[in-house]
Amino acid sequence: MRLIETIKHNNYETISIIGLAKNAGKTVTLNYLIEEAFNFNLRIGITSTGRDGESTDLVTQTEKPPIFVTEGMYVATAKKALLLSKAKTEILETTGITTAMGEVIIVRVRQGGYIQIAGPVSGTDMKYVAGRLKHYGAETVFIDGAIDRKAVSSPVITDACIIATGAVLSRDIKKVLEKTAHTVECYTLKEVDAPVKEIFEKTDKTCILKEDGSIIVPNIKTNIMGGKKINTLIDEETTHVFVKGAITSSFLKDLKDNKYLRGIKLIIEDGTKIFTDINVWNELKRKGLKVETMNRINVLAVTLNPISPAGYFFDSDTLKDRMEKILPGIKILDVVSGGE
Amino acid sequence: MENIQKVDLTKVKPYGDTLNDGMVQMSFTLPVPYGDEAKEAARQLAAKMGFDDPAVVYAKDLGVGYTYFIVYGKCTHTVDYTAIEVPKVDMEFMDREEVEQYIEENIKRNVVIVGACTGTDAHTVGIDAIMNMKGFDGNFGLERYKGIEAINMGSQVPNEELIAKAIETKADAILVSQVVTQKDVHIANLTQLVEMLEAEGLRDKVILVCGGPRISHELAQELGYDAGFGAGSYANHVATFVVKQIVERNLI
Repeated sequence: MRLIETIKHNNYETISIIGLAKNAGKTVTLNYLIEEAFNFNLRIGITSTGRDGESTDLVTQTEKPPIFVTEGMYVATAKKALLLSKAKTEILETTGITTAMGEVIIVRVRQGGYIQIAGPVSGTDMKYVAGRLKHYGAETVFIDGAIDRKAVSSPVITDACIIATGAVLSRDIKKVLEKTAHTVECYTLKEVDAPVKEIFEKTDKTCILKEDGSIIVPNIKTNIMGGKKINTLIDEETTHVFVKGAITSSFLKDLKDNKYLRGIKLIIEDGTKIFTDINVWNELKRKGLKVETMNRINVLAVTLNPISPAGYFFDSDTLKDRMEKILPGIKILDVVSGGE
Repeated sequence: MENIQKVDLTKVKPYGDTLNDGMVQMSFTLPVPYGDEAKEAARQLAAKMGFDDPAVVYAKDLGVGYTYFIVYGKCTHTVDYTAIEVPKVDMEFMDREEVEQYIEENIKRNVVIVGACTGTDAHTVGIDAIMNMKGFDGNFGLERYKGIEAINMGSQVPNEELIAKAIETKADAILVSQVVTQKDVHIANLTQLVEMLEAEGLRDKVILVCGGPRISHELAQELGYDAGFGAGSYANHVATFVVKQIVERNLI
């Protein structure tokens, strides 16, 4: 089944496209999906957490792919970006959400053309805007991430995500594979058993669960620096540690030498909350720490860009083959060399 | 007297001795030993960069097989200055007294602002110019403002520590400065802060501002910040933006 058919078939309402780095091919992926949606009669809405469709990249000064929208599509974009667009649009709503590029405006495309997109920067605002795009008639809303920002792929905001990765991550193909696999691993961790999930949904705070069902809520303002305190509260009766918010390398390092590590499960909200270095993550796993998630992220596909703007590239087939081997069961698409 | 040639702003090119001569002076180092071959390599490289009549005017042996060059060349390109549009923080800036008065009338409590130079960056000139009491170029810093509690955490602050401090002090705004970094590492640093704030559920509750010589308001959008302040920004610009946002976003 083609990716767009999977999306249509499952009625996904919001899909995020996130990149593991700049120039990983997010916009190329978005353009591919716009074209596929057009061919398969799927009415879509699009927006971006950053900027899209401008001709040169603000950071690397490299050329960026333009975005061509067709009649009937819905777009949420900031005022200044809209003024730079060639497509003819009808304004449906001004949202009152301000961004560095002006207020976010919701439009319907009346006449196809190139468009520039700059949407809301925060997750909460993005969720609202996606809702408005659906309200006006978009069957599926695609949210393009910015640079390497991933927060928008949290299940709190979008139903499913597409991960863009590529040669830009490293000159070493092994590193590209490793980093991509790490993200997919974090995103698709096993979901915690329903009864435990219910307990943590109720507490909604970083806490420690014991065998007898009792809960300890540590007196910390944030778990970012609270690893040491949590470490002292883990004992032989601890079964789960739920962390609400970010998991950082320093947090995991604080748990590193805990002798009860093997007996506990670390529960995270979702994969977008993990900010650890791959080595620290793997070390803790080697020591026996099990990590599960409250909400698994639905990874629909991993798209590849075998070319780096730094002037090197990988063989498209080799990258695709090796990615498929390391990520069995996940659709791998090279959107730059040609899609499905 | 001859007529003075007028500048055509739609076709701007570098000025050396005469208008539109396109003269550029550049300097670079090549990892080759000093000598005639090195000079020729530098000349050819400048030609490949697209410069007309490249000339190596200076070359110095750096030792260990490296040579430093100063090269002149004529630029063949032009830019249309009239078509350039750079988005800037678009508001009327208040001065210090006006900001103080605005806080007193509209916010009615102290505004807490935490600032730092994050990641590997050790250059505090930017954050100091905005935050420190003495300020910069005749403009006092945020520490001097009545009604603003300014906390300057200094340089090389990890994003985690900055967020922890913001939580501890219930900060209204976070200022991040990135001055000198290599290979665009400042970008990854800046986006990581946004991502961590999202993960902690704090992104909507704080005003997030970045600044530095390579930061523009446009880039701030891409990075996920509320505003970006480039070179030539002063404390009152940042303060105006922060206090207005507090009121606009109802974070009082």
